[in-house]
Amino acid sequence: MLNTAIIITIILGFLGVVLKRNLIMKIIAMDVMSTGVIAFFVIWAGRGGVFTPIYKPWRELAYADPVPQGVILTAIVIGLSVQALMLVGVMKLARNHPTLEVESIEQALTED
Amino acid sequence: MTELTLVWVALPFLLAFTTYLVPALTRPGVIAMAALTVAYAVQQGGLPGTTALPLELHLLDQFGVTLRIEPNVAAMLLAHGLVTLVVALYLDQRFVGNRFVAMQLLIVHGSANAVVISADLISVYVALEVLSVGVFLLLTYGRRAEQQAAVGDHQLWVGLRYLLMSNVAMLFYLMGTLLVYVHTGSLAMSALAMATPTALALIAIGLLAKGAIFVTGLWLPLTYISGDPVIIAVLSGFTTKAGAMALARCSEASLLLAQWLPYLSAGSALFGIVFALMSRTPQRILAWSSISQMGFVIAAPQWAGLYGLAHGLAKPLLFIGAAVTNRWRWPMLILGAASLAGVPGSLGYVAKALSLSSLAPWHEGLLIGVTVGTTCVAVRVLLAPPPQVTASIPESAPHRWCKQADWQDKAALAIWGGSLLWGWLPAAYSASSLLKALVSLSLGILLGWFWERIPVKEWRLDEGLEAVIGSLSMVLVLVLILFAGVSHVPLP
Repeated sequence: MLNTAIIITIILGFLGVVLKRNLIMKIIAMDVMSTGVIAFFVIWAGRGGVFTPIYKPWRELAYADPVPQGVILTAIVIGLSVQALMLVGVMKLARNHPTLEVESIEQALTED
Repeated sequence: MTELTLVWVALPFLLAFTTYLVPALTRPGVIAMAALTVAYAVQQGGLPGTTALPLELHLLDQFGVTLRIEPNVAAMLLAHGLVTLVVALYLDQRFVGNRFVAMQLLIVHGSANAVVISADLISVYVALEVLSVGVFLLLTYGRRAEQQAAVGDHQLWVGLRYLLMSNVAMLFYLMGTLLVYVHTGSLAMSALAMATPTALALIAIGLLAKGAIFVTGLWLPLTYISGDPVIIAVLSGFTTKAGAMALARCSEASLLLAQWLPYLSAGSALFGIVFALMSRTPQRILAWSSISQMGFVIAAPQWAGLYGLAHGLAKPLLFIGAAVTNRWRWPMLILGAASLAGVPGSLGYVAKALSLSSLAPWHEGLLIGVTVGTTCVAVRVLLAPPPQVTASIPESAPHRWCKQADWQDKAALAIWGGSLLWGWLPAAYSASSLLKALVSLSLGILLGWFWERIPVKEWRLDEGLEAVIGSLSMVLVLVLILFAGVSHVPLP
């Protein structure tokens, strides 16, 4: 059930990147997609159990797998910085192309 | 050796951050770092014809995070070192923002090194993402002439396009990585042998997009045309090859991937060369020919490093040579074109002969056919008129800088030419390879001569953002179907 929801989130994000005409919307859709991927990692890490993976000898618990969680932390940071960078680029682009519609930007750039 | 390797991996990043504190260090830092990489690569058997023992470092004990340096990879490292060295020497001081470019160059250099030596999926992911951020900054905030107030919208747009496309592709890659981990409990590339077809397809799409292989390379031509020639030299020199190299290494571990790689290679070679033949301007021709050459790089994974080295040295020379009008134009163009077409004696010939000789007959025949087209393309770039002098570069730079830049240009060209002529490897000079090369060369030169005389209507593909993302999703569907359904050899 959760898995399906996550896959749907990822697909919705990708469809947004493909279908949305506005550059800002495309970037937001990319963020939705990356949130989906992050959730995918977190859910898989919690398959065997959901307890924080800190070992205590007196507790017999089903711990979550720390490796996917550690890995996705890097990916979250990278995703955030890429997004920040893209938004700065979009701000600069918006000076000459205030609508930020992909088609009109491309048309204007091929004309000159 | 282990300590040296670790220091060498971390040093570019450390240097890049130090240069913010001590800006005067930037250029010497880049040159020293590139020289260190060249020395390291030679020591690890990167020179054609030498070998060395592979070095393997296990960083995290049981999850497979590993670095592995072998001669194949060392050849690619040699390309990184040489291209960075040459570009750092060539970066003249008549341009604003050179220190920033040199600093970014360090980061791009370091992350490209990290991509090719990582033998696990997650290090490759991190290094590739750092690489794409570095490339974006090079493209958008890079070199500009003094009187140009800001970087143009063209560069900004191609940079954004590249970042959006590569980030989406790498998200697919990340999903593939998780699927591999879930099924095998390891992140190492060797775990790909037991991975599911879906995971392999998702990983392949990320690396294909980064390596500009096959239709996913649609982002490449417009990017190469809009960028500054020196930045494009860095891009075509080693950043796209890093993705291709990672793909080649993955295919060494996975039978399924190795089985489909020749088809992707043939598709990329054909797709690129058809549009290269149908283009007009030298920049466009060279950009499309790059996609075609990426097909050659992944054709034989065991020679991917050598081919990457040969192409990584020849293409930047052609890009810079086609853009300048001074007296260095001809030596640059002739050397680059000779190596690209594979004239015996050049590094390009050796790489081509060695990688073609280990292929299946249909694949080899097809790639020889593409070589005829490549020769034709090289001839057309040579015959193309030099660019009109638009006086974008003012010639009023202070005299002392001119003198210094002149000396550095000469050193850069000597390194470039010297390494391209490093093509005397006895193993590559069998009678059949020599014959094939000579026949395809003469056919290609003839074809190039005639091609200039018949009017050809230029083919243009839609290279907009929609088309780039669309081609990415189409290739994703294609690899998913191919890997899952049509595997014609039963796998263990």
